[in-house]
Amino acid sequence: MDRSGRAEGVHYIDRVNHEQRDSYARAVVVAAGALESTRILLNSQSSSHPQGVGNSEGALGRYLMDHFTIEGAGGFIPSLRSSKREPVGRPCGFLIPKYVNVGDSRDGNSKFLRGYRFDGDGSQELYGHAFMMPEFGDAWRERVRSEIPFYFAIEAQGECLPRWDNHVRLDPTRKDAWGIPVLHINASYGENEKAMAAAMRENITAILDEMKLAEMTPPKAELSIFGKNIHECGTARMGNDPKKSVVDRNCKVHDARNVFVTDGAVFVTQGCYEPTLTIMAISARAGEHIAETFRRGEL
Amino acid sequence: MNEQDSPATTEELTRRRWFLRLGEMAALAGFSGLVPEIAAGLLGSEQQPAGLPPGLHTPSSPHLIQALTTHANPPGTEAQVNASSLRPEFFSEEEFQIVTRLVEIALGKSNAGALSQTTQWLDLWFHSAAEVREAAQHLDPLHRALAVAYYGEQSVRELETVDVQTVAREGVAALRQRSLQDHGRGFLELSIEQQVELLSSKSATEPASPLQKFVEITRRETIRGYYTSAEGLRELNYKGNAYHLSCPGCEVTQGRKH
Repeated sequence: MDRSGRAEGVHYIDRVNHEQRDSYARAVVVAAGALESTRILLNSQSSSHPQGVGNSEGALGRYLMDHFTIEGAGGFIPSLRSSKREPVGRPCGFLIPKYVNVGDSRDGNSKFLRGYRFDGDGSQELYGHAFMMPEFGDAWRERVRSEIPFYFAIEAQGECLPRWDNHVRLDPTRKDAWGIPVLHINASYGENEKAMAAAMRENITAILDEMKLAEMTPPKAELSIFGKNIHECGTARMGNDPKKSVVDRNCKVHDARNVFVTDGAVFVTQGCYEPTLTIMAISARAGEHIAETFRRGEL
Repeated sequence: MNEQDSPATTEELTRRRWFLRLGEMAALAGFSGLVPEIAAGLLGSEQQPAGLPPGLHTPSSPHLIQALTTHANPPGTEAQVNASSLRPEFFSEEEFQIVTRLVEIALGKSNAGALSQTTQWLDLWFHSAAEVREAAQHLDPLHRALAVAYYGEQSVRELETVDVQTVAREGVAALRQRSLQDHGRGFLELSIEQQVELLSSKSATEPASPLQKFVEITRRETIRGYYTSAEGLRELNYKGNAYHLSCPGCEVTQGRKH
């Protein structure tokens, strides 16, 4: 980084032969995934950016998010037990879009902010039912073939609120194979997520009851562990105020003239759906902006 | 971005490259409509067996073509090496005969190949159990938390605490002892009716007894081993998954109702 806040390029280590190299460019786009992008920025320390690029105000690494799920619910569909194997499996799940806290107050829930959606599937068991049949021998194998149950499974995925406390920072002691500091991750779900989880469990249980499933397994009591959904977002959030955010509306880092972040790191909130399409849309917009500013000679 | 010097050209085998190669071979070997013989012909000089050691192989064309077009194991693959030199690694010869008998009773009539694959699985499973347990006991706390999140506390704790090798040894000993006490002969010398009767007796079904624990684990892994073998999958009439060619029940195609 030069004194004017312009990145000259990148310094990197060849993964195969471990040679250190430099590449130079008019613009630098960081798109290594939410956590790795932020790690690169935190490790990009210089006299002009002693805390890393994008971290002049200490916002870099903050507001980490990841969806949580309520899992494990399901049961057998009694009316579908069959002796006939489906010719081929046709993987086909379902998705029930978010309806809670959307527009109409009829589906509102004041116990928490934001909402959740459901997904799941129904499938013919392959051999899992064999464990439940206590017999053995030829007759038992015949039952495994002739009494194939269908299992229905459902889970709910909820939005994680962006909180300052959920953050990543450089680990002061641990480094990767190339001697570069790794991230220390400090994150947990808060009261809003726990209140939302209670409603998710209630909804799932109502669905299972309505379906009158056999050998029903209720939804798990606990939330999935933070990070399990691998929809990590945030830590280099977008915003107009350089004191409260890391990148601007075009994904340009506030305190660098030509450094951009184009992945889930820039998310301010993450909704309850998968982040990929939004990342693609944001990246396309940033790309158009970079091309336009390049044409204007501003890069 | 302008490279200042040339990038590395080392031919390193990466997972991605392996899969790319696999995809290329799959396309040639029939998924694209080419018959296997033509696909093999297209490969020219790469048809000679690579003669690689067991383990992860370079994705050589002969191995991949053969794997995709036949059920036989190509020369040098791990499966072929293991099949030709298999000896039980955990069980003694006599214990392995007892386990084989238990598997036969559990499965009823089955062909020799399926029986062999199932008993091999059991031996491998018991043989690996000590290392699996040790690895589970030394998990980083964060990794353990992740394992619990995926598989549940009970499953993880079972991996950490249950010494299944001891369960197997004690179970086989209990089976021998019970056979001698009840019939004055070893288990393998009993008639099949006597063997089944012994396995259904109170001593074999009493919860948490050494024999019950061993029989339960053996039955569980027999099911897993058999129904994941080629023969077991054929018996289940399992043909794999396929994607939908259309959208059943959906009235909208490419943004237009039809």
